[in-house]
Parts: sequence; structure tokens; C-alpha cells
Amino acid sequence: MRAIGYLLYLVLIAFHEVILRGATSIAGVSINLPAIIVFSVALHRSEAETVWFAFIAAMVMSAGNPLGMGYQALTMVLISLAIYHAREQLNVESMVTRLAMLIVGVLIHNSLLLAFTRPSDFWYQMWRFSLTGTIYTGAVAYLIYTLTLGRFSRRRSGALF
Amino acid sequence: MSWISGIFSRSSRKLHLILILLLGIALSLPNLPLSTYVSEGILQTFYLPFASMKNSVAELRQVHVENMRLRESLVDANVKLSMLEEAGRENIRLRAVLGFEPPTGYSLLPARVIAVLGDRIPTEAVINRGYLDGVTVNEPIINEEGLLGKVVSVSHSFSTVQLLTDPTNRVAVRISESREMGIAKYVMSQGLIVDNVPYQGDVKQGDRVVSSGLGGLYPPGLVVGTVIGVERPKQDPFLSIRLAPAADFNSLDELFILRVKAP
Repeated sequence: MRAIGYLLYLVLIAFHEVILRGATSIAGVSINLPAIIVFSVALHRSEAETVWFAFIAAMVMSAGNPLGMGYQALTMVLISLAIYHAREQLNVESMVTRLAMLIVGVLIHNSLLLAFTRPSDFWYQMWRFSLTGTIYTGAVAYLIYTLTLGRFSRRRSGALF
Repeated sequence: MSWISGIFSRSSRKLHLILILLLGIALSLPNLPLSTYVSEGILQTFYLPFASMKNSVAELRQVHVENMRLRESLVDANVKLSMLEEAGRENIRLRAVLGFEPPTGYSLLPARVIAVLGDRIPTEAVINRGYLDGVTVNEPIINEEGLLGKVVSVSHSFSTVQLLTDPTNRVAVRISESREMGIAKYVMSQGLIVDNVPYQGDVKQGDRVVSSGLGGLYPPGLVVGTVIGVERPKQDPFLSIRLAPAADFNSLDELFILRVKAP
């Protein structure tokens, strides 16, 4: 059953790349939904599932750009692995902290992609699209977590800080 | 995916990471066509259905927009066609009246009906000629079929015509063949009739009825109608004559004001 779940995630990533990305982008800033999905897997599943899913998801995500496929796949695997180990080493239980890790992961992912695709105007792209895209993605991830997991009670958030 | 966890034991963990690293590097190498094959497979499997769906929706939207545009064009074309057909009919009518000659000593002023008044049948018509055109009250109104009525009121640019179908209208007439005289009037229950023709008068079905010129309002010889029925009531000294009007009062359009020529 879990394999079907992962397959559906891949279908969702493809759906995002073809349709959702354009439909949900605001002034050129789009959501990094594949990163939300992959890093969420890293925050909740085993290491094996994390690295293989990150690798395959990155391939699906970058299918339109075969030249950057390997770079994207390795980047995604590295960030996912880092998030997974951070989760394990720090024994992170709070969902807010997990969300923060996800956002940092998205920021790193966006930045590394920019470094590969737009090295000439990296800083402009970083400020204009990467940071805003990370904020947008973080907001969407917060909504998804709130709606699907229902774990963000005020008490938990308050206890964290 | 639990099977992945099973095979991803601590001993083979490094092996799998190395495998992923090697795959990643292989995908990155521009000399190897691996990334192209993988990309093509993914595009065919995952992207193509959504791309087709997106294209279908876009096409559907385009078809919808085009459909709306074509509907508008169709309405526009229908309106133009209708106007052209009307212009064609008007052309035929105008050609028919082109050779229409007024009685001697009279001239014709063409006019167009802009409104028709009446309950069940038209009894009055408003025309687009008024005192600015020199129209005066009591001038006869005709068309190429025959007598229609007379002007009863005139305003700045319009006039009102009392048609023969108005029950209060009277016309002094004559049976064209027998020269018998009478009064034509419209009775709601009977239609157009001729009154006051003596019992012994020689009138038969098919006879033409024209204005007699008596009374001075209408010139003689204007066709009023055709006899369609003659009855001879025993207790009445006059014939009962029914007429079919020469003009079709239900389709009035172009008509003429008959005016006395200045000497």
C-alpha cells in the first residue's frame, strides 16, 4: 500500500509540474511542492525510503530538463538525507521544528537549483524568486500540515517557544 | 516500500548510497544518453496524460470562445440577411409602383407608413409626411392597388390617415359597369359594403367599384373594391352589396398622397 502512496506522490509531482505550477504561481513565484513532499517523507519515513524517493522524485521533477536531472537528483537526495539525519540526531518531535527544517530544506534546494541554472544573476534570482518562493512554499506547507495532520494545536506551538 | 527498508540494512546502506551517487553522476554526464532515456520515459508515463488534459482544456476554452464569436457572427449575419431580404421586397414593391400614374390633374407624394392603429383590423395609419411637406386634411391616400383613405390630421412631420376600414369613413362610389351609385362603408360584422344602391340596380359579382367623385373629396375612378356578393332583401328598397377591398389593409407600407396639381 505504501508503494501506491509513493506512486501517487510521483503523479502529484508530475501534475504540479505540468499544471499546478503555472496555475498557482504569483508574479513568477511558484510553490516548490515536490520539495514539500520529498522533505515530508524525510521527516516521517526511514532513511531508505527517504533517499530512494528523493532520487526518483527529483528525476520526475526534472524530466523536462534531462541535462540537470542528475544534479537535481543528487541535490534532493543530499538535502533529504540531511533533513532525515537532523531529525534523527536532534530527535525532533515538534511539528513546528519539522516545518522549519522543511523550509530550510526548500531554501537550500531552491538556492542550489539557482546556482546550477542561473549562475550569472544568482543573487538577483535568489532575492526575487528563491526567498519569496520559499516563503510561499512554507505557507503552503503550513496549510497542508495543519489540514492533513491536525497537529498544530496552539498548546503545542506555545510549548515549543 | 517496506521491502526497501528490508534490503536497506546497515551493512548494505553504504552500497545503496554509492549506487544512488553513481546513478546521479551517470545522469549528469552529458556523454551518456541515460538522462535522455529516463526523461523520455518519465515524460511519457507521468507528464503526457496531464499535458494532454491541459491541452484539451485549452482547446475546449478556445472552442468555447470561437463558438461565442461564431454565434455573434451568425446573429449579425442573420440581421444583415433579414435587412437584405426586406430591401429586396421593398425593391419589388417600388418597382411595381414606379409605373403608377395618378389621375389627370393630380400628383403623387410618396409616403411611408410608420405606425398602424386599430383593434382587430387597421383603421388608422400614421405616415411620415406632415405640413412641412404640404400635406393638408382630407387629401386622399392611395397605393397602386386602389383607394386607402384620407388624411384626417396633420402635424409637423407626420399625418394620420383614416382608412376605409374605419366604420365612420364613407366614400361615394359607383359600380364601374352599370354606373349605379352608392355609399361604401365598413361594417364590422360584414366588412366593406355598398349602401344605397336601388333594388333594381344592375349589379353582379365581380363588378368593380370605384369612387364616383361626388362630394368633392375623392377624384372619380379610384378603385375601392370588387363585388363579391349581392343580396336582394324583399323588405328593403336597396341592394345589399359586399365588397372585397382593392387594397390589402394588413400590409400597408408605401403609399401616396393624392394632391391636386397647381394650375
